[in-house]
Amino acid sequence: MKLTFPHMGTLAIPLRSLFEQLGCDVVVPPRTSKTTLEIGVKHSPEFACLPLKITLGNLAQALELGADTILMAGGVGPCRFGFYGELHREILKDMGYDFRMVIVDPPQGRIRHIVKVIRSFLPPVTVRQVVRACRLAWVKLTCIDRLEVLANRCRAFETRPGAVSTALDRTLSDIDLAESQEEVLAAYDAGVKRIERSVYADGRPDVVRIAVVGEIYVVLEPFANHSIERTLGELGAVVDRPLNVSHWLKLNVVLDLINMAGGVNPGKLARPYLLHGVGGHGRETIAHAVSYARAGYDGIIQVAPFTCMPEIVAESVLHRVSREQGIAAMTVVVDEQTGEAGLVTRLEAFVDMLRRKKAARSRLVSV
Amino acid sequence: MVTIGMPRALLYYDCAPTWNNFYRILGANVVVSPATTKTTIDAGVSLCVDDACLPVKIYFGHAVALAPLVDFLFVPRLVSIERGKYLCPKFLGLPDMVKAVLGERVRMITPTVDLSKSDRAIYRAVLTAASPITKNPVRTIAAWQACRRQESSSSASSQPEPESKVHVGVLAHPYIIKDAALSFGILEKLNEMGVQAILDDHPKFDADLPGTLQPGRRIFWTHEDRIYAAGMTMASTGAVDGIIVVQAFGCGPGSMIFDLLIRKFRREYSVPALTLSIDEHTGEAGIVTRLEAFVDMLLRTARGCS
Repeated sequence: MKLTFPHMGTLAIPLRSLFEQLGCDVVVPPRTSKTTLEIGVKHSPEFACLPLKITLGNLAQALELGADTILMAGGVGPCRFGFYGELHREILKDMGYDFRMVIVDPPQGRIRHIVKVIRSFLPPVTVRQVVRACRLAWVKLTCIDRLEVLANRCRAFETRPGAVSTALDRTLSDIDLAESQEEVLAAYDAGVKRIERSVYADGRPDVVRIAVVGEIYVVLEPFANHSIERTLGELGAVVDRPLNVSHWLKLNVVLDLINMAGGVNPGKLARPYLLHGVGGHGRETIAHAVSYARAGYDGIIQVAPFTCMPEIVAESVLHRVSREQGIAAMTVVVDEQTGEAGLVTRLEAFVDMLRRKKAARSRLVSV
Repeated sequence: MVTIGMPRALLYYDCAPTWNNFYRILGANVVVSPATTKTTIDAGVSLCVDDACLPVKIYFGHAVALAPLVDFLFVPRLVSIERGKYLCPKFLGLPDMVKAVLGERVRMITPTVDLSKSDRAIYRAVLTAASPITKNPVRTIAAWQACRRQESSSSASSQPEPESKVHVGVLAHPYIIKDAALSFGILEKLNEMGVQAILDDHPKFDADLPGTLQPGRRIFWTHEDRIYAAGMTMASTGAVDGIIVVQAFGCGPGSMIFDLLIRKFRREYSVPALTLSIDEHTGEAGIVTRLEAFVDMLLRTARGCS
């Protein structure tokens, strides 16, 4: 059996580690590229959202490389993501592939059911092996998430363009290769030093602070958002991103195993703008926008795939948040037609505007 | 007397009779916005975010037209109208979307209907819905039950179906197909062409979903589940000669379900299918031409076979 799963940002690193430690053969799909997107767009329904198209491309490429089992997350609605697995299976079948699809639904408290689903495709393993594999994957995951946070904060201050991203990429591949927790932590420490070495210690005066919120897949996947964090950082913005994989897993897998996901509530912050969850990350987008506005950030960028239902609701409400909380907000909608140059121009204009606004405000204060 | 405004859009076509009746029994004056026109569409398009689908944009057009005429606008938050299933996320956020645009221009009644876990949750929604008129729960519940009773006694009647040589299944959301301006009167046009249109809400498609998804999994959207079940039944029983799918451009749940259906039609049953997608730029002539071509093809096939 050769296992595969679609990419989402850097998620493949901990996932590969997890399943290899559990004794699976893992085929990581080739890095998401234009070819991936072309395959996805050609075979997906026209109005499906971008993540469906890209992940379909990932899976098709992995099947080409010999994978025969697909692991996919499921869902119970109302976001379309919960239906991805079903549609992927039908499309890939029509494309002529022969494979087995395992769809893991959110646990909603049914621990035994999840264990059964996962055991259905794993080779026999001991509990100790499982614990060790999970721990290693978790350490990798949290280290990667922390490094990305650090890189997003540091890019505005780098000594030469691209230095932070290069340091980050190198560290990520070190973490990918690490085979024990000690090696991961050593790679992490080296990575932090590497990133710190590539920035000016005394900063720069004209930085603006921007939060990137929105739909989790397009926020996390640099190919889908045209490396928005990197572009913003290199334009001189300190970027913060509230969504990351470890946080998402904590909420949707760990807490949901004991049916407690409802206990962590973004609802309070989203009041009075959005009074009910709308699936996906719609309400989180609004809650994050409010919390960043309160924290004194200069701007918010919402990234969403075209036709994403939860984010359309959030987008409609975001105008009001921007007006009432006094924070600049911009929505970037991405699909297979999005051109990088057009996006970069918009980002430049947004950063320039924030910078001028900030300068004007500080002049007012000093007078 | 309190005047309540009902926008004639989205779930108006599913649940307005009940709510209208409910408010009338409570003694309120109900104003329904007039049928969709070009003006409604233009107003909606200019108010709503561009990425929304046309039916949602039209809702804004109806809401803004009603706003100056009424005391309250009735914008329910329909999360779920049956166990374990939801509506499109845009229904979940509709009151907030309308509020963000209309702001203080109009007061709104926004009961939350979430029957995903229990049918009894309707009572809380009913109490919220009645709150501007009466705070008396006994009166409210009595009114609700009275209008439910009227509904169940009236729904039994069904008109006899005319005989026709060619039957076409029409799969679409009710808020598109029942709005003549939005759907370019497709149903009427089919009728004029001598074709009998069968909608997915026809009682004979009440059957359970034929086993198609992975066992134990169901489509978690109410409308789409029904459309899927109806589509599969139409195709597998041969009750129709062709199927027309009418969808809004950018429809989220529809993008998945209609694609899955058409895949199955092609793979398992040889049913001809036509997909029409509609947005604010769609021209009537283009729709009519495609419709005529499709119907001509079906008529010719029917003649060839007989």
